[in-house]
Amino acid sequence: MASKQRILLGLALSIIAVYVIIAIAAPLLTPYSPMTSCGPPLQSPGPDHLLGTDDLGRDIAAELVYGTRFALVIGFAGAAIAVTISATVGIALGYTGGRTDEVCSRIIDVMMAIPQFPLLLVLTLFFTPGLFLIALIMGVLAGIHGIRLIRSQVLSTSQAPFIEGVRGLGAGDGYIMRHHILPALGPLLSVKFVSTAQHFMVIGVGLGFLGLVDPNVTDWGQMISRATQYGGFSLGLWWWLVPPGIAITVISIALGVLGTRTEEANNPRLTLARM
Amino acid sequence: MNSELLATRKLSIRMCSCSGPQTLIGPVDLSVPEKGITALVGESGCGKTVVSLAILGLLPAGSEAKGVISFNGTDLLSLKEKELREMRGKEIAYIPQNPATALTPVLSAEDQIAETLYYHEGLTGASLHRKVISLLESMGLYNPEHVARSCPHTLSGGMRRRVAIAAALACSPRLIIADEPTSGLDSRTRKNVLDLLGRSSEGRAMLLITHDLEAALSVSDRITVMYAGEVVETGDIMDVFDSPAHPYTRALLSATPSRGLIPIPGNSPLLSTIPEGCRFAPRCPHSTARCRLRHPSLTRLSGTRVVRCDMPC
Amino acid sequence: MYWNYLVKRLAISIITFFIAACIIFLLLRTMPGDFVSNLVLSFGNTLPQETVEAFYRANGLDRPLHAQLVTFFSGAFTFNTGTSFLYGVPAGGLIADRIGWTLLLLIPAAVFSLFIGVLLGVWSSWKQGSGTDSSLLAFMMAVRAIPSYWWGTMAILFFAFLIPFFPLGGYTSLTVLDSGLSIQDVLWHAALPVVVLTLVGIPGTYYLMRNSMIHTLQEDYILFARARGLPETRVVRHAFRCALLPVITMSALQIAGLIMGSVFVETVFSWPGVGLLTTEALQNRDLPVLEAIFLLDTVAIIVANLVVDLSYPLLDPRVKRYGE
Ligand code: SF4
Repeated sequence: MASKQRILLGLALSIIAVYVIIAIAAPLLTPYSPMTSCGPPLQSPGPDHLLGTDDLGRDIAAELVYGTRFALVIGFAGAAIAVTISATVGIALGYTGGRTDEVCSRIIDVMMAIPQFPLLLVLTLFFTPGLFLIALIMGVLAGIHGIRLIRSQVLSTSQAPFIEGVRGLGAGDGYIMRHHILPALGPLLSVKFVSTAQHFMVIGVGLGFLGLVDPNVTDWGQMISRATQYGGFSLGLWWWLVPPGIAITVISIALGVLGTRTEEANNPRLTLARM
Repeated sequence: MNSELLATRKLSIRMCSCSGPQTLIGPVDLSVPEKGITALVGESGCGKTVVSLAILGLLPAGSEAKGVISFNGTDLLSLKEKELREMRGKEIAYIPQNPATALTPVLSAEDQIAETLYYHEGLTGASLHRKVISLLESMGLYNPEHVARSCPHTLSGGMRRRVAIAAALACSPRLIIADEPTSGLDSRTRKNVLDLLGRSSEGRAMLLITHDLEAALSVSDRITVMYAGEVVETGDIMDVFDSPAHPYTRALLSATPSRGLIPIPGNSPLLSTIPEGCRFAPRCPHSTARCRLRHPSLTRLSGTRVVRCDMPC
Repeated sequence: MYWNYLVKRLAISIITFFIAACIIFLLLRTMPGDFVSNLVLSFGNTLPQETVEAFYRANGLDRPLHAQLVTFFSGAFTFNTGTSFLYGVPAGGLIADRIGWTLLLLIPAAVFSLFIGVLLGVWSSWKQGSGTDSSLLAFMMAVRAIPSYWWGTMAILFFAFLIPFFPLGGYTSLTVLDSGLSIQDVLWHAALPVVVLTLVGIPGTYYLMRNSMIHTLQEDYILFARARGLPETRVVRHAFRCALLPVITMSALQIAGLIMGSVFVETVFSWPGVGLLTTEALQNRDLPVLEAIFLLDTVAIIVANLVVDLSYPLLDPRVKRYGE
């Protein structure tokens, strides 16, 4: 790996680490609550409020800090759910095969034909969800979509000679799935996890932007949306508008770099097969 | 006298791919006379295809060839890309292995033959078309006008092969490199293809790259045997056939159907894990302790007969 | 035969549409704590009971489920899923009014992004491994990583607010009141959203094209073309003509993907297309409109998939097997 890329990867990892720390240590970083008014509205940045206050008098810096939690939980928890679903169902179907596999694959085919994004919109609207519910909905939807890829990968792996050999030695199916097939899928799953997390953060903040997230949750999307509506442009309150956008952009790019590197590390001859 | 058209001297090739270890091929000393067929024989993976790519100057990016490849007196390795390109197709032709994948699927047969003529000989218009048709006719295609208009996928495998050969030989090259022309063919097609190649190479030089020793024996005049990236034996075909000097050549001969299909024990080494000493030693029935220590050099047995073995039979 | 394949694919598409429609119907109308009661509750408990009942009756929501299902499906194919709660007009008509505005953004954006993506993809693959290639890859990675709504917001901030060159949003200036809608004025307002939507669409095409080219450049016929001494520009043209096919067919899916982007972009720019309608319907819990939009998107994606599957064997001479 060229040293330039190594630096880039290090940078990406440290950015992700900083975000995680901010999310965990949010109450220590700001004296204000992101939900309660703590001064006159629309204040300019000053010593009391580093980024001023919004139209309801809430501290913008506090909202920004607490918003990290939303993005990270959506991204990482959602991706974890998605990858777990794809992996377990994909391995089970690909490994057992036969009639069950056929029927389930057909069902999945039909479900994949339903447009994900509108379905996500409708579901979020239906549940007016908070943080964890959104992560769950997104995770389940994307998890179903990922099954097919994992299944085909398992199909090719489980035909490998060494699996035959292990089976010949008397290993049980469960053992083989856990100890041989799952590790073989490791690289694919880790790539999938990182790219899904990135995608979910962007979409999750987007849901907030469209006003679909529970207003009692602090998230960058709602901040951007409020800022554009209540003076971000017309009054030129850029300190309200710009920080949340930068925040989501930076973490998204960091995850993008990490994703590309994970992909290349696992498959050096790779030509970036993405769509 | 049949003088030398192509010769490689101490040609060694280093292939680097970012993923795998690098492989080294050579030194390869090869000589192709002006007329007649020279066979380059070896198991797959011994580096014979790489040698042919090096001659054409088409090694994959990141590889490096050292030594001399002299063609008609010029060193090909010292040529610029542009000069080399003018050489390819005009002086040196390459007949690809698999006719099914050798033609661009979206262009008609005529387009592909014509473009070679256009870029090398500047032919255009009606004369270009006439030349294409006569080429297709000379390949034994009955309805050349129709074939010329067809796209490759509508042609049969045999027709595609003829179109590919026509495109390769359009500019009457002096040297033809045929890469594994018989691999994967049944015995009848194999014979037809060899006949066709023999006819089209009349009066020119051909380097026949193959792992099929029988095919080599049936058409060629000279033979060079490669093993694990280096030349192990060279000679006139009859001499080698009657009295193979290198144990590997003997083993290859015994493995041909007419001599009883006796397999060679063991596998040829990967080019990245070449043993010290004689490269064939692990599989050689005559190997001695000395063979495993000392890498034998090429020794001249007689006029054009060369072998790389310290105790030739 | 191709006809059998075509009929089979069409049948599968229609079945898929039905299943998707059923799912959305059941989801929105029968789940516990159903959508409509929530909606009514959100108006506050102050609403008199008669009003609530009148609302149910007016929208046919008091009828038994199977009757609702029949109405739903009889309207589904024309996207007439009922009367908009918010506007009081049929949802299908509402979409018909707005779709033109969306296409006004979508078509140029799709064409531009396809063109630029293909161009850059070919360039990148030709220079594969070079500095140009890796910086293009990095650039595309960044373009993809930045959310579409943030591209839009930044575009407004820089080119409409800081440098007041483009309008802040909407589709027309206020002059419309006395001089009527002018085409130039509308195009002026469409410029920024089209640019943003184009930008959002480029990376997908770029990756596809680069990938396809890199695979094609490894084919035997490319080696053979080089071995015949053809100039490199000609060799790349051979590769390009083969590599473009899958990209063109896949572009149908790319365009369907842009519809999602248009929800965000239209919302940012207050552009009165289906995207903004989606946001409005979401924010106002306008059930019939949401259902209609959902069906429209489903159709768009099903049709895009159909186009990909049906056009590929027609365009690519090499594919001879139809069906699985
Ligand atoms: S040098 Fe020794 S090991 Fe090598 S081929 Fe000759 S006899 Fe065999």
